[in-house]
Amino acid sequence: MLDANPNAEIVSKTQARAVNVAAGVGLLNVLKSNLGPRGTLKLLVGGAGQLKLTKDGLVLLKEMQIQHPTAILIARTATAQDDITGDGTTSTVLLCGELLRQADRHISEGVHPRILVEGLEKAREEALKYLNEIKTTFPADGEGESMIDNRDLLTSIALTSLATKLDYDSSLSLSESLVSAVQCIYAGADSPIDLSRIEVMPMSRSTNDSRFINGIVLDHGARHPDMPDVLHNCKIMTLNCTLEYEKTETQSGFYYSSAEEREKLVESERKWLDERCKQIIDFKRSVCKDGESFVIINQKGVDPLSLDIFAKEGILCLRRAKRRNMERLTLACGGSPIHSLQDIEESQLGYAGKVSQVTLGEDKFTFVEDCKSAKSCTMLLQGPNEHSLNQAKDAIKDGLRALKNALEDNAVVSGAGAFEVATAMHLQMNVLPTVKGKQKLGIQAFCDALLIIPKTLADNSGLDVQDTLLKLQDEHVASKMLVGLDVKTGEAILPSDEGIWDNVRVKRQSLYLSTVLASQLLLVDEVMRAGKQMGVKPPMDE
Amino acid sequence: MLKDGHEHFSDEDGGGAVVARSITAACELSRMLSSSMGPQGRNKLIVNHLEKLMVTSDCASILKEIEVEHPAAKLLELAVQQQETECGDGTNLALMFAGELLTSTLDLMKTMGWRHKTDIMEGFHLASTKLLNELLVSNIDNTDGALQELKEKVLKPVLGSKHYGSEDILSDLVIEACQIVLNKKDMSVLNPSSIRTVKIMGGNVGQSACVQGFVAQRGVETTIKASEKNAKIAVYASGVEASGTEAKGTVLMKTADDLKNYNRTEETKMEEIIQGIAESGIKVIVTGGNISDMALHFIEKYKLIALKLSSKWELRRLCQATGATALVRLGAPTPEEMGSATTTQKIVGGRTVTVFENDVDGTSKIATLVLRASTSSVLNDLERAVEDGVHAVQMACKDGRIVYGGGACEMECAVRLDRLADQHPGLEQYAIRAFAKSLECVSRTLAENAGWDAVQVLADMRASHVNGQIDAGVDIENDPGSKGMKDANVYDLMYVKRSALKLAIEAATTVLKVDQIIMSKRAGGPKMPGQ
Repeated sequence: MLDANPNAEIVSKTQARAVNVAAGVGLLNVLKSNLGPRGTLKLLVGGAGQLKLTKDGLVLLKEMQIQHPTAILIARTATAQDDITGDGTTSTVLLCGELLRQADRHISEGVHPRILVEGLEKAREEALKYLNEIKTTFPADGEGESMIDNRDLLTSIALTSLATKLDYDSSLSLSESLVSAVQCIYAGADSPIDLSRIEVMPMSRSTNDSRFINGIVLDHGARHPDMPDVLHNCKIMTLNCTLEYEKTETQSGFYYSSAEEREKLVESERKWLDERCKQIIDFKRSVCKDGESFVIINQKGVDPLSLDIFAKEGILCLRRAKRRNMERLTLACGGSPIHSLQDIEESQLGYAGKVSQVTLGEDKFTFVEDCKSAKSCTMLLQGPNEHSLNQAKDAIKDGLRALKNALEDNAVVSGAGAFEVATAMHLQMNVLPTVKGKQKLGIQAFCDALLIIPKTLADNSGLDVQDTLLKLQDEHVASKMLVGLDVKTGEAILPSDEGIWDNVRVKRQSLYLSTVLASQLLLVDEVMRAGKQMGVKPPMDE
Repeated sequence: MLKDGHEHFSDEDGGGAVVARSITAACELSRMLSSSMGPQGRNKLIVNHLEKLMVTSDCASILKEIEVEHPAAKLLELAVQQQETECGDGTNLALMFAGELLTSTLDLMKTMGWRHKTDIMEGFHLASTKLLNELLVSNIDNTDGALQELKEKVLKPVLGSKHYGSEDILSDLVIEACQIVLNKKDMSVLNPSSIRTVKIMGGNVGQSACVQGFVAQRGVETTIKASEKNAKIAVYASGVEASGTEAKGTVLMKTADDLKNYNRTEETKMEEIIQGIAESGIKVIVTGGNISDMALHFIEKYKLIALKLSSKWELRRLCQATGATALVRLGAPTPEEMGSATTTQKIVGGRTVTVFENDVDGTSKIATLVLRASTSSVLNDLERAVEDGVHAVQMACKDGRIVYGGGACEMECAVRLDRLADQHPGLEQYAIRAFAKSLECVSRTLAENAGWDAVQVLADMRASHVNGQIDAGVDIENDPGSKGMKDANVYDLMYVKRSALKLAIEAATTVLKVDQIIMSKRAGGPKMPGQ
């Protein structure tokens, strides 16, 4: 207890390390069962009783209200991993926890943490170097088949990511759609891949039929019963122009002294709007040939009378579209947003092969499909209930990131624990002999920690951990190839043949972050909690 | 490590504590509702959080009211809700099968040990794909899709299981209503929302009727109560009153004459409008807004009928029933915008209703069922039964394949799955067998609810099925034992059954896959109603 602040809690030396290690290992144990395609689910129940089913490490860390300071530190870092690479949160937490555990063993035997940390960092450098050596790279644009055209490869990358978040059958179909979506928005190797051009639209339905839509799905419909439900060959007018009465900014009013005068005023009030509608209809008649239809999607409001006018003309008119969707619409259908009704030209219109409205219970959806050379698209998610939709939504986000990472790296690395087994082996055989002194211990700890990934994969598949690991290592030494684990049979496989690919940057980031974090925590020798006592709320909050 | 108030259940010790707990909770729910299954199922009396009384045997309605707390049980409830929105029927089957599947998993895990959870799941997966993709489909009996045949085969069992005893009357009504609204060109699409029900207390079920058109549950505003046959109708979405400007309007008067004249101009204007409407041949005016007193005066003067309908949806349905277009501006409609129907105000059981009957063939897209019963709970029950019946017809129109009811189809699938289990090498065979056993729950519950010795009935049925009589089901009426469902005309829709089983399996496997439940502290404050 400090004299300066009698309220401060202090934990120091060995105890501090014990606290940190315990938190790291504790978090590891929570997340452990979720790793890999055969990991189990966690059911999170929120404050209002809402359910969330997840396997995603990030979602878990975000939703669990963690209070232990060290655990929070680890959780935040893992979240950073997701921000940068979109995947690998669980592995980072696992790796970090295991590093702490391995290091703790050495430290308790009297090794100074500083020396150990130096060893860890050395090992990390070597591991990252090795990662660069063994990654599989692909020809850049223009030289042979580039990655974006290699559909099989992209599908297996997406599948590898999805299979760890969803069950196998749904990830299989989703990965195909994800690849179509990414291929749709890909604009060459030089321009960055903008994933926000892919809209993910959840729909509550009993089928699990999620698919890729070459166009946009809007989550609202026309507000007029007589508007057509299905239109083909549509010209899309992306409008940002009010079609309802707008009040003047100054105080204004009408004075009249007979009903006729009032009628006239009512009429003149409408006149301005009627003219605008007429202008649009004239324009429609001039551009639409037989068999073509006209769709207006307005960001601003459209009042019932104007809707009625459009409905009589067979125009489908949607009002109050989201700004985000307006941008996507022009990207998908072509054309440009129209801000003023003066001088409208046909080139400002977009095109969609089919526009249809679907009603599901009380929700309406509008599909704008079959666009020509769309630069934006939609992933339509269908699932029987909210929790499965959310699960799929999180998974899709990760799958898209995985594809983006792979395309930007233009390289992938073998998954299924192959990378970890190979790196551990490499460090042990090639690096360890070249290093002198106590640093060796740090490198040894790092090697052992890396193996947590294949170990956990085996454990979650109900396999014998030691047997499986030894089998993999033997196979690796014998074949000199990157050997991974088949979670179904427990046998060694070649991930490159099976199409199990991980992102290079995910691995790199994960190695980097977990080592930094573990080093930091190992170097802590005092945990102080000062200031207001936790658990006692100030009276204002009550 | 976590915040105060958290509850945390986990499987870390490998003892399967979480799964066991979840299963217990889920089974409690399904056991509670199993006595409501089938035609002989008992009703439940529920008092909900608003102290509202409800007597029903409808599984989805019961679940809605009892506010399930345990997360695993909630997963089952979600599956049931989905079944209700998707098919409108088969909810109890979904819940019961999910519960039964979980119970047998628990037994299985106790004997096999928790380590083999993955094998069990694998077995379930095998069995369910086989069941959903092959067995159910191989069990079908063909129909030619004619409504009359559907009525006998599909509709009656559905209605019978909701409101036993009235299925003959109700099925006639439902079929009549469906015939009115069914698209003559494309028979496969039936929109259930185009069949409305109007509940009027008093009388009995036999007095219920089907109206080709629309029934509004309020009287007309005018003194004339009934129109001639197929009178023209104008529908206005706006009110029948003097129009106002969007900006603030002020009447400017300088002298007393102005005041007098102003009223007169208002009157002439209104008369002009109503006269115009009357001259166009309109006899009935329906509005979604208000009718001003002045307008009503002129409506009376020109001997028109006027009715207010406050709901936008009601107005839309009336338009569909009469073929009218809702107008946004007050004025005489064009002939295309007019609708036609025979309008009459009637007093039924003390309630005033206005009936719009449109008997011109094929123009009414709405049918209304007027249901009569002595108490409101029976009435509500009838309404639910009719809804389920309409959904059944809808499903039948979409996918007419049918399977034998009365537990026959499930038993046949169980027998065949058993055979599959016998041939299957590996640990999965235990799971497949358990899965097959769970399917028997349908027949068992039906027999139990009918008051028979379930074990005896099950044994009989199984024997018949093994001997190749695939339509042997539970005979709930005559004597304990099984009989051919083909002769008894008890069928179920394959689509409904498939969806229920699928959702049940999904829910059950999700419960099994969960190895940790993390519950945060309940949010404070009073609970929102309806959650």
